[in-house]
Amino acid sequence: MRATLAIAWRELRSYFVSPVAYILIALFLFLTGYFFYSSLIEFVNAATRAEQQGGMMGGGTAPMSVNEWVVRPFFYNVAVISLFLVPMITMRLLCEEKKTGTIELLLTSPITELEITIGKFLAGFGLYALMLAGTAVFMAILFAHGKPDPGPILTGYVGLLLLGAASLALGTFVSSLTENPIVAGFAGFVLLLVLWLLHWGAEYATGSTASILNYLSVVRHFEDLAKGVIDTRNLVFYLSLVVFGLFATMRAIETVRWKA
Amino acid sequence: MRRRTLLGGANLLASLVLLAGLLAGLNWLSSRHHVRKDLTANRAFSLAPQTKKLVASLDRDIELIAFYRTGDSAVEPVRDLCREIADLSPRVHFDVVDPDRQPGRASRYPSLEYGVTVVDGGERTERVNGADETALVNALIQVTRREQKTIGFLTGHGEKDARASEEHGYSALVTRLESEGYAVEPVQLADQTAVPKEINVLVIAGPAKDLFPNEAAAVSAFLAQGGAALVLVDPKPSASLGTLVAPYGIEVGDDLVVDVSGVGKLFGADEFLPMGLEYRPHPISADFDLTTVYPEARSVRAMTSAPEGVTATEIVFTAGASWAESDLASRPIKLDPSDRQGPVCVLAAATRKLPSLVAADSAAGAGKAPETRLVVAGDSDFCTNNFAGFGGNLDLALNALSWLSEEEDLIAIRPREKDDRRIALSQAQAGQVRTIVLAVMPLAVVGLGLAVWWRRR
Repeated sequence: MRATLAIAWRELRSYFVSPVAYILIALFLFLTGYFFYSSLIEFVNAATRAEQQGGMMGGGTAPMSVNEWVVRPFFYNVAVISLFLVPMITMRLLCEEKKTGTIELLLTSPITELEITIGKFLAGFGLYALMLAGTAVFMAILFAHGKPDPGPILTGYVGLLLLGAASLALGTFVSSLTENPIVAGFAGFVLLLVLWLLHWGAEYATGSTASILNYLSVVRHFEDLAKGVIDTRNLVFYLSLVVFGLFATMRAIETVRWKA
Repeated sequence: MRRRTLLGGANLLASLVLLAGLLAGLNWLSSRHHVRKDLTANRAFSLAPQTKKLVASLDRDIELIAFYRTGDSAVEPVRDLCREIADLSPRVHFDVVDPDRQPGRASRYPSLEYGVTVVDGGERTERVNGADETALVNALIQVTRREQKTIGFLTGHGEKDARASEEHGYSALVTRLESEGYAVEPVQLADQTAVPKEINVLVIAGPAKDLFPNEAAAVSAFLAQGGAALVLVDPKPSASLGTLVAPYGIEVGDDLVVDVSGVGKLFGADEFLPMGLEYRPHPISADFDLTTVYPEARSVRAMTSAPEGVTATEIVFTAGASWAESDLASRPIKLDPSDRQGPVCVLAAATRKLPSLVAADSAAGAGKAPETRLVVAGDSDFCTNNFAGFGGNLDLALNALSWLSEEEDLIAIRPREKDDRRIALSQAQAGQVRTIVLAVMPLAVVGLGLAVWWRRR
């Protein structure tokens, strides 16, 4: 346990020692902030227009919710951005060690593959969670100027964390397979993209193929959480991906030990 | 050395496959036994208890098919609703289908439009517009009901022919009815004393001649016992059937509706084809906002003092710039004091609760409703094949028949209040937000990074 945390902490520190992490975080905040701000302004304008028209007609206006117009799209945007972001976080995780050869050092020590795997994963997850925490400022802005429904906001973040965890676990696995971080990043991106696009395939398929493809799509499971519904099926799905990714990483590292 | 890595690789693959299988099994299990909680404040994604009860007790497989074009965002609330319903029961299967991409599936449902959800119960189908939980649940009830509803078209007086496919026939309407699971039969009463027992709704579609006494008596008795009828009459010289509908508080005008509003001209109609522009509240006209046209119509009126137990409602009205011309002989045709000024009603509905004695008797009969329902319109051409494609004509006829054939236990679910949560931002505040979000936050992070980098130098 201590070894795990030590590895996680060391990795996390190394992120923040280089300018990479800061640039990533700043870019992430800027991008998500841009989308957030655009939908917020669009919402405010649309609401104003609706009120004006409603006033002219002498009636009320249809209900408009900030959750529907701003919060839900925000979560989707962040999910898409994660698609690019996560591979960038995970690409160094194990490649560096393999390239510099420090992985052999690690493996000859009493630290187990499990501890290495989880430690690295936690570091990536920690960075990702930190970035998400930054976006809490956006939500705070909404609460400062209105009364958004908190439930869906909570589940939305849970969704992002789960989606992120699953993506990170898979990205870590990819990173454990190669020495080249560029390859790791690119392959990780492709893998996530495939999982994302599975639900497109489902549209053209029929019957049980369609059901399976639908189930495997990471987007499908995100939809419930983005709108405010917690369903154990979605939790089980994402956690399954995390378990699979981490287990696969462990085995991949083991084979390195084999080779050594 | 080679062998060891190969073995290692195979080992890795095998254990991964094993794990994948295990996890797949776990996921399969979890989809059978899952817990679902809606955390929204207005429970927007939870179904009403009536819905849950109904779906849980379904005794046959139901297909919910939402026909929406790809990219149409209006499908989202429908998807949310139908997913929840499909979730409740393995008997409900839900699909979103783009009718352009899968024309085969769409062609199973005649005259299908975009933005419609079909509830297919095998023998019977219903259609629902939009994401209306009440409408969906009622559709579910209707398609799972055991008994089939039979619509009888009266013959023998020059009525419109239900099976004819030329312009004055009703085949378009009938095809649609049959596709939704209704049985359609001709009814001949000339040598009968009663309307056949299996008829749920009688349609009298534009009789040129009046009914014989025995026929009128049969129809009256049918109605009095809780039957339902759609009575479509045309202006003189066609029969008015006024005495038939009078006991239900409806008067048929001895006139011709003239519409000089000019709205008709936009569609190529002249003054004797009034448009239906206004719809008073009634189940038939709920959510109905299409234009309808009535080629040569009489006026229809609810009596000011209706007979006991009768509720008569005028529903469809023509333009304000129209009137009911009672003197068709004199020219030019113009609005006289004796004429009724528009808007003129051309379609009305009436109900009458059955006196309790009669209700007890008919409870023993073949599932008759405890109230009589009647729809009377001053025109029978609006739902012929020629005009069925115009605006809401076909839909209005279907709505009327649907209401007439409906039973009493359909439920009404209070629509969930859509959440209204707005954000108030003045120009200044918007500017502040923009600065914080797009400038301050990212720059702060960059600054932090620079500080760290500086310190490490």
